[in-house]
Amino acid sequence: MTLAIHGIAAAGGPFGSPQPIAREAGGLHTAIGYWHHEDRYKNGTEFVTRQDQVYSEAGYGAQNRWDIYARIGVANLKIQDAFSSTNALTTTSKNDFDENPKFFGTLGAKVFYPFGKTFGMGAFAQGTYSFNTLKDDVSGTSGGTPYRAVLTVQDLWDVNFGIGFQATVPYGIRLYAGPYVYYSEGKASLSTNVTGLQFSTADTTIKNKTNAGGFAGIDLPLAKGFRLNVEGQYSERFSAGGAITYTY
Amino acid sequence: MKSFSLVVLLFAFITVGCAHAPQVASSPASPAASPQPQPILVASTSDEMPAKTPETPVNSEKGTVNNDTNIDYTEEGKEEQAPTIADPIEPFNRAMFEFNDKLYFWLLKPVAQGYKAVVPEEARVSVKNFFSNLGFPVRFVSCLLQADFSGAATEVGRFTVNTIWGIGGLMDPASSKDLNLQKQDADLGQTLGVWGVGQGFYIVWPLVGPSSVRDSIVIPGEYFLYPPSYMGEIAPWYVWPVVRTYEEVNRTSLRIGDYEALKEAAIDPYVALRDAYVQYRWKKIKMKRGTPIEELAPGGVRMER
Amino acid sequence: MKRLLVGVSILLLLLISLPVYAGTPLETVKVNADQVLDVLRDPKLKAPSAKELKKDKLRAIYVNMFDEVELSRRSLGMNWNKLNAAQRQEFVKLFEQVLEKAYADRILAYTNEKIEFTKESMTSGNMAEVRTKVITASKEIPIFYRVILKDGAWKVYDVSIENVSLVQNYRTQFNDILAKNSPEQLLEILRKKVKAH
Repeated sequence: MTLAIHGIAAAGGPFGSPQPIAREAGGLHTAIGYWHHEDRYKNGTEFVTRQDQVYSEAGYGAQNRWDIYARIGVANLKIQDAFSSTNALTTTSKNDFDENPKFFGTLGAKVFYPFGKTFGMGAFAQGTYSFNTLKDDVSGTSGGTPYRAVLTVQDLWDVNFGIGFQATVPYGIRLYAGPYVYYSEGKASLSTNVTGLQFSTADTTIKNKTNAGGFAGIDLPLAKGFRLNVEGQYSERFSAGGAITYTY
Repeated sequence: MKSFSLVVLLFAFITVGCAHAPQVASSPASPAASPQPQPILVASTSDEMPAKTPETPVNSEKGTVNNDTNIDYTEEGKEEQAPTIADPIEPFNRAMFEFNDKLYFWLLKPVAQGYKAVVPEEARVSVKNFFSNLGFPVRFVSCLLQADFSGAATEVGRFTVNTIWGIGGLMDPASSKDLNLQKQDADLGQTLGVWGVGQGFYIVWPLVGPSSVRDSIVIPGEYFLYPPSYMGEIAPWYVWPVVRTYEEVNRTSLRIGDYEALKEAAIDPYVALRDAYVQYRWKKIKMKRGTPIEELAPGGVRMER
Repeated sequence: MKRLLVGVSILLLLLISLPVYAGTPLETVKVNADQVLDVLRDPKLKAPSAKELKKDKLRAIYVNMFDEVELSRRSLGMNWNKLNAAQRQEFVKLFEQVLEKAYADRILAYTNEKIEFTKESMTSGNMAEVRTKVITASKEIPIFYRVILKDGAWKVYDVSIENVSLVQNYRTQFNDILAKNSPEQLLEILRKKVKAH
C-alpha cells in the first residue's frame, strides 16, 4: 500500500475583520466560533479534505491598531478517498480517512491602519497547531491477503499571512476582503500490517498543494457588546464559518 | 472607601450552602404578635401601631439630651421589624465562635495574606468569579423553587455568557452595565425561608461559621448542587477539600480586614456577628418574599404582608 | 414609583409648611459625602502627620451629618428609658467615640473608590432612605443611609452596610448586655472599650 495522500491542509479558522474588535482604549475580547474547512489535492487523483472545528477565543487589543488572540478548539479531519486504491486487487473497508475531533490551538496577530472613517487596511498572521495525533485505520484485502493499515497524521500545523481591506458601512457593519498565503505541513505515517508479511511503515511529510487564496467577510454588531463575524475563504475549495464575539 | 462591612466573616467562613437565612425570628404569619424571649424587643409592637408622626420632638440643641425623650412605641413602630434569633445553645456557639476566631487569626488570615502578597488582585477576583460561576446550579434551582422564573432565566444567561465569553467563568461580563444580568442572591436556605419555614435557632459551626437550623438542613442539598463536589469522581478524595480551602483562602484574601472591623466596632463581637447574620439572612428573604424595602403605602405606614 | 411620587409630594407639602428648605435627603447625604471625600482626597492632608487633623475634620462632618442622639437612642432601643439624663449624655458621647475608633481608620484608608447614589425613597413623612453603592476593584458594597428630618435638616440616624443595620446590630448587643448588667456597668464597658488601643 502506498501512501495515497500528498497534501493536507489544516484549518486555522476565520481571520476576522482587519480592524480589531477590542474597544478603542484597549481591552479584552472573547469569542466562540465555528469553521468548516475544505481543501483539495491533486496527485493523479483528487482528494478532498474536510474539517469542522469549534473553538473558543480570547484576545487583547486596541480598536484601531493591533490585536493578538489565541484560540483553543477541537477539529476533526476527513480525507476523502484517502484509503481508496486504484489497484483492482485491493479492497478496503472504507475509503475515507475520518478522525474524531481533536484539540488544536491557534495564535494570531493583526495590525490595522484606518484611512478615514470608512476605509482601512490591515495585515495579519495566524498559525495553528494540532496537539493530538490524527489517526484512522482501514482494513481489507490485497491480492486476497488481509491487511490492516493505519494512517497517522502528526504535528499538523499551518501558518497564514494576509492583508485585508475593510469598509465600514452604517450601523457599524464592516465588510472586508483580501488575499492570503498559507503554508501547511504535517507528518503522515502509514503503517501496514499484511498477514504473513512484515509490518511496514511509510513516512512522509505532507504539505498543502496551493499556497494562496482569498477571503472575505462581514463583521456586524449585535446587542450589548456582542458582534457577529461571518467569513469565507477560497483556495482550492471554499471554506466558511463564523464567530460570535464579545468585547469587554 | 475600604469596606467597613460588618458582615464579612460570613463570607470568609461560609461554605457553599451553609449559613443561610435567618428569617424574622417568629413565623411570618404573626410577626407582631409573639413576644420575643429577649427582654426588649421593640419590634413586637411594631405592626400594631398605625404610623404617627413622633409625638415628642427631640431637643434640637446639639449635644443635649432631653430628659423627656423616652422611646416612644410609635416611633419604633416605624422601623423595620427587628429580626432576632433564639440562641439556646449559646455556650456551644460561643465556643465555636472562639474556635473560628482563632482559626481565622492563626491560620486563615496569615495564609490569605501570603497569598494576597503574591497574587495580584485581578487574578484573585477572576478566581472568585470562577467559583461564583460554579454556584450557578444552586442559584438556579433556588430561583426555580421560589417560582422566580425571571431570576432563573437570568442565572442561565449569566452562566452561558460568563462561561462561553467569560473565559470559563473567570471574567464576569454578564454583570456589565450593558448586559446587566445580575447575580441572583438565592440559595436553598433562603428558599425555605421564602416558603415560610422558620429559621430555628442559631448555630455556629466550626470552620463553617454562623448558621441556623434552617440553613444547616440545606447543606447537603447545596453540596450536591455544587459542581466541585463531584471532583471525588474524577480525582482522589483529597482534591475536593483542597479546592474548597483554596476557594476560601482566595475569598478571604479579598476581604481581609472586614472581620477585624466587625470585632473592632462591636461591644460583644459574638452578638454582633449573630445579629449581622440574622439581619443579612432576613433581608435576603424579605427581598424575595415580602414587601421590598422601598415600597410603602402612602402616608408611610409600613405594612408587613 | 407611584408611591415614591406620593411620598415626594408629601415631602413637598411638608416643605411648604417649613420655613427652611431642607433639600432632598439624597442631596443632603451627598453633600456630606462629598465633603468627606474632599477631606480624604485633599493633597495637603496626605501626610501621615495630618491624620489627626483629618480625623478632626471628619468628626465635624459626622456631627453635622448624623443625629447622634437619635442614633444612640435607637441603638439602645427600649433600654434608653433605663438611663437617666446624665447617663444618656455620657452614652451618646461614648458611643460616638466607639464608632469613631471602629471606623475612622477604615474611612481614612479610602483609595479612590467610587460612590454611587442609587436611590432615595421616603419611608414616612419625615423619614427617608438614601441608597448608595461603594464600588471597589473587587466588589460593590451597598450602603444605605436612613435619615430623619429634624429642624429643617436631614440627619442620618442609621447606616445599613450590606443590608445590616448598624443601629439594629448595636441594639441586639446592648440588649444582651443590659439583660445581665446595669446601665452604669454598660457605660463602664464602653469606657473601657474607648480607652483600649
